[in-house]
Amino acid sequence: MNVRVQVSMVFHLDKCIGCHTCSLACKNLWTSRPGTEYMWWNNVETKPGTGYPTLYEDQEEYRGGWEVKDGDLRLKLNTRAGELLNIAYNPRLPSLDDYYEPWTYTYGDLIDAPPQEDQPVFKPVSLVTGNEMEVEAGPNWDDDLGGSSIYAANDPNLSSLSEEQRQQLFNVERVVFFYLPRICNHCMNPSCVAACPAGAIYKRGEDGIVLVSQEKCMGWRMCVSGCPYKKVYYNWETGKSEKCILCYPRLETGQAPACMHSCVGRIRYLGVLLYDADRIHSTASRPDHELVEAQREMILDPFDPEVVRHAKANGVGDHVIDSARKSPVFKFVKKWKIALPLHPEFRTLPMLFYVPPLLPVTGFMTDDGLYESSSDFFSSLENARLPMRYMANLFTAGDEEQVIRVYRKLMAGRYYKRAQTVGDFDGAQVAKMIAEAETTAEELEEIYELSSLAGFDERFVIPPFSREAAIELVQITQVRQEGGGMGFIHEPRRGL
Amino acid sequence: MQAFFFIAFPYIALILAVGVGLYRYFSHRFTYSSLSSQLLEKRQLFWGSVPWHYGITLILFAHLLPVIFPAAAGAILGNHTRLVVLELTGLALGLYCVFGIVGLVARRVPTGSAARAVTSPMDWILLLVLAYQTLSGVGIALFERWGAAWYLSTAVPWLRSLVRLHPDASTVIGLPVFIQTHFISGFLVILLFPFTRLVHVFAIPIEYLWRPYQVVVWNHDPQPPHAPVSPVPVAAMPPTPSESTDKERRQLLARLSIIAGGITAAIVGIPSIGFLLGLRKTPETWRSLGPVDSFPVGETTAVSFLDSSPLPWAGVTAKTAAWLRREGPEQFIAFSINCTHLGCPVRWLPNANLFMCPCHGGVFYKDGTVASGPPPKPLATYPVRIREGAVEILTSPLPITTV
Amino acid sequence: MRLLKQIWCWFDEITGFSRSLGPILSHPVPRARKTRWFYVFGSATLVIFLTQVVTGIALSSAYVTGSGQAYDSLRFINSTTLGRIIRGIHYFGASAMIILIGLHTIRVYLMGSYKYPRQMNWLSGAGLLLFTLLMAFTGQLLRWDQIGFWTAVVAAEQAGRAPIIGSWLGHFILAGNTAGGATLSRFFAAHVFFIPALIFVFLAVHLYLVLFNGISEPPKAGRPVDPRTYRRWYHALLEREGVPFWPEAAWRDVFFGTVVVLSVFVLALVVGPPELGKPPDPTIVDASPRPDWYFMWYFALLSLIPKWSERWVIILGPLLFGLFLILVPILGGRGERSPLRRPWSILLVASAVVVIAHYWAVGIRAPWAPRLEAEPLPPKVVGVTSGPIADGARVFYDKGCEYCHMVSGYGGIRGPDLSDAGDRMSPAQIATRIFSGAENMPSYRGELTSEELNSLLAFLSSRRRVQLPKPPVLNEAPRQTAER
Repeated sequence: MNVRVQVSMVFHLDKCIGCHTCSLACKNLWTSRPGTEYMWWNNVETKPGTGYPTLYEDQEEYRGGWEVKDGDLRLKLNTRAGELLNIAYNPRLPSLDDYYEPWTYTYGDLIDAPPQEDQPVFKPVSLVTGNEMEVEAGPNWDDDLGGSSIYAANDPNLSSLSEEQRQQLFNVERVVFFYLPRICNHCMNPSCVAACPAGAIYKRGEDGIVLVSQEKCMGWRMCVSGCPYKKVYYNWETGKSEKCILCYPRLETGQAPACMHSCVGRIRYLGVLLYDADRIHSTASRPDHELVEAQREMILDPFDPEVVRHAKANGVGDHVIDSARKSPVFKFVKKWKIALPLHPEFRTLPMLFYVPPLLPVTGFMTDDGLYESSSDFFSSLENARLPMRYMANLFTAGDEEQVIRVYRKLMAGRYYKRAQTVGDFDGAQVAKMIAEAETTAEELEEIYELSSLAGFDERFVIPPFSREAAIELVQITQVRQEGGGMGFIHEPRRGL
Repeated sequence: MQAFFFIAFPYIALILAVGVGLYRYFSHRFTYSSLSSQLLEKRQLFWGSVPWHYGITLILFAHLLPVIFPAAAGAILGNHTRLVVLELTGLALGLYCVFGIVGLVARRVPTGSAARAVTSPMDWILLLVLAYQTLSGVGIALFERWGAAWYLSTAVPWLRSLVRLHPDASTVIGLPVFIQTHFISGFLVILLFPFTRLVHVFAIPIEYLWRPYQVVVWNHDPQPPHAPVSPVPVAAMPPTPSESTDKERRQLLARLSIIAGGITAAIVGIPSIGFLLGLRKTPETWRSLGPVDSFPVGETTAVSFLDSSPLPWAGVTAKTAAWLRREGPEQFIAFSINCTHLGCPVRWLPNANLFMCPCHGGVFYKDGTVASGPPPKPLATYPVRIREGAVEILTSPLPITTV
Repeated sequence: MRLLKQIWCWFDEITGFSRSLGPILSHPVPRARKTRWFYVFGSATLVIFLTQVVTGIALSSAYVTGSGQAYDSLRFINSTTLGRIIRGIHYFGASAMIILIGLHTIRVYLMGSYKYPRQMNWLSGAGLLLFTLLMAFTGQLLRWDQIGFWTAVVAAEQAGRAPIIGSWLGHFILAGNTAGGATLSRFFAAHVFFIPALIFVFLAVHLYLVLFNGISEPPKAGRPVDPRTYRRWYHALLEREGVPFWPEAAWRDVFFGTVVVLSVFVLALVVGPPELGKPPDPTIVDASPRPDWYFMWYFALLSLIPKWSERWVIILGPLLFGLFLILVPILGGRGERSPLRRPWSILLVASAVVVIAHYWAVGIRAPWAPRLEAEPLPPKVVGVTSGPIADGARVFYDKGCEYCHMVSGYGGIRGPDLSDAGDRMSPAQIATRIFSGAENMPSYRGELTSEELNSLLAFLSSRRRVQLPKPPVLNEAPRQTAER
């Protein structure tokens, strides 16, 4: 048992209101430099939808992540030698059109325009070339479905849904969506690290944060293709790849990551997990439907004395173990088993987890134009607005059974609290639901506490990282940011 | 002037390339990058980058290998068919490169293109020099034919003399100016290395082929457990160098030590290996074998003479033997005694008029051709001449049968 | 005695030997029951190598490294009693080392001891095997007599078959244009400094790895090696039933090593060192280079393979052997170790041993080599003293036929035995063969007068297994019988 520590996050999707505050906090802090305009280390996607960059989940096109071939876990992208041969031109690289061409407006025209008949206007100009341009796409172009179902219809996760289910999904009266905030998953088995020919990307041993060494990166661009979540971005100005750093300078000084700190819906939970690094390879090689469960098994119980013994042997301090015991992430993922990884079938063992949304429906329009409220207040799994099939494609590699198990528990919690606070449900029915969800009233109470009532200190639990020296990096934030961005000691000037 | 271009300039280019390259690597490593602009466009780069990179890599090897192995290259090019095939291959690769560099330039030319926006002045200089270098190379292949062959006797000795630190440009000074510019702009490319994005050539990640897929970096030594945050206020803490600078320092020290060790090994090793490898090529000399009349016509006799480099301590091994056959009054032929199979000494059987080898039974006829047995080739012969009534033989290297 | 003990205590206190080396000596090794005597070959190879080092140093103190003087210095060494003994030990020690390292390799291969985690043990051992063979080759050459000299030439010629760099490599081995003054120094440096240095380095690695990975336990059918669990299992085994190496296991090594050294010493006393041949004078052309016994099989192999394949065998053979040694632990690093579950390994070793033994036996007979020292046929074989048959017998000798063809026990064995040529071939067939030659026989067209030919045919036709009552006359005796 090789115990390592991972800083991990849980997103409670029921609480996400899609305000994009997290994205903006991140952008203002990290990606407001030339070359990074199109980078959204944190973005919030509307699901169903094609995501950012467009159709990033289609690995037949981008070939990110891993695949098991002949019993062997290998990069889907290419062989090692194949990568080196493609180094001059990476055929799987998304182009800027798959993101969008960043632009600004000629705001100056409004002030500098001479007196004239017409109202002066500003025009969009490209931030790459500086020329005037037609804006054809932008970040969140399909936000809230973009006013039409045509964007959402292309969602690769809908591919295995029946025609009937899709019809139903885009029926105007029933049209439905939810938000999916995404940052780098800081995977246990990162395929960007494996794909980097220069060896510039690495996972930090102490906290599992995956970083790109800006000095070692030579701009071979394989990480961009290698990451199935497309969360490594190529900076076309400096010729280096960049990605979410989980705000490690903030973590090291005891502050929450910017995205989490600014989250209006308080949907994010951050804590450490202990996991067994010896099992990474075998877990990532398991069949699709076993992946979620196997990953959960890899995550270790910090209350188990055996785990603690091995952790200490690996140099994990008492304060870290203590923090792992209080970790909200541990509770959601391992204890209650209601948080799931996004697209486990990419086999990178992503270390951010999502509590799937319930999307309750209180009523709908009947064919004769009447608004009819459903008989059961919270709806039921059978007529859930988003088919279980779709959620399974997102969170359990297509295995509906596992998603349903999570939903049973979430649903039981709702009915349990409703019966308790309003009292319009039959106690026997609630007890039956609790039994079906294989949970207990105590557990549901705990879930409720952490989901709905928890304060910041319960949602954000990290050990001290003993990196006081890192304070220097963020001490004079203003100076740093104006000099070319946060986190750089030298100004990141493009090479000759 | 030519002394500058062919002697001083190459050294200046090399010294700057190495010196500035190392300086840039160690103090501005962030600027090392391929600076790819593939992201900004769709498929234009494919038509430029792929032909260029594959073509120029092969061409560079074709230029370098003869400098390293001139004898082998000479042996390969000695055959006319092979020379023609190689020339045509080189020309094809050259045209492939031209296609690539034209593509690379073309995508950067249109104003308003994204590629133009990320093109620096140094990129333009580099592209122009590379374009000239490729075009002049193709020009040489087209108009100064058999370059693969004359390269061996002109540029190769010059380049080798540069490497040996005994610069000698005599073999290239007489060449047409057009060819000379190809050489000069070649060194200009080397000079441009540290000042352009060319530095990425030295960063080609071959180690990717064998490094483990996953990279894990520990900021702390994982053993032993580090203590929780010290309660001592920051101001009261002794000024210790931060961990990252300490680590950087150690990395730098480790690298410098490795480099120093490598240099030491090279200082000791290169002369030693060179001494071992150095073949004392001794001049071939004529040695008298005795008066013509002492060899009856039609007979084969064993003759012995000193080899070309009779070292004082060589004793009997300084001698060499041959089988001398007088075919006519003025006609002599001298056979090596070494069987062409594995070098054993063949014996002459005068009654049977055959040479026979005792090792594996190879048999040769009196004219040296193979009669039977394993030898693959006829017996080697030595040049023989008659001077002032004496037969003289030219000492020669031990004939070694090659495939 | 007490003083000695005090000195030792003081010495140990300041050096810490008992603390650092003690655990190494007493480290636990697995108990090997039936196979315990198979583990002695490696240590015996080491012992005999050390013997070679000692005797080699002694020899080098009198050996002169000059192409001109080496032979005389060897004659001087031979003329002294102890010099003879030391040369003898060095010679038989070399043979013993070859045999022992061969046995050790076979033992390790058959027992699958090269499997995880001992792959590097095998690879370093493969290096040692290679270096031992190189030592054997260069050592034979340092016996700078006629055969030693020509061995250098043969080595250069073999290297010459390498593609492209062949000629260069050949002359590199000779250290010049011809085999001469500088050649011997090169081989001396290789034999005395370069290869031994490599052996010491590899030996250090090899021994370190033996200690680090532990000696392999005796294999058992149905107990495959699984890299994930092997080390843990092995340490548990040691804890359960390990015995201290010293002296529980080491005494067998010591005993066997002593027996080997004693045998070598007795052989050196009784048989003595190999005699020196003629001086290394390239102008003495009646030399018959032969390798020492350990390369005899390879020498035979090169003579007997088809001519077209020779260039491939000379270069690819050693390369493939090296590749095999490298690939064995890489491809077979896990799984069953017991030879009972690896029948191919037994077959491979058996066939290698059979092939080498066969070629070795053939090499000693050397059927491809002409017998240039053959005597003319005695009259009792020829049967007559005058007449065409007797003339033919003389021609048979003069023209060199007898060097390759045997008649009634006289002559060489390269060509077919002609003792019963008359039974098998008609004179016309014999004449055709003499004229046209063959792959392994020169054509004698133009080299024989008609009288010589007739008498030769007469002689050969008279060679019959069933001797006729009186010596037959050419072409008459058969016709008479037919008429009757």
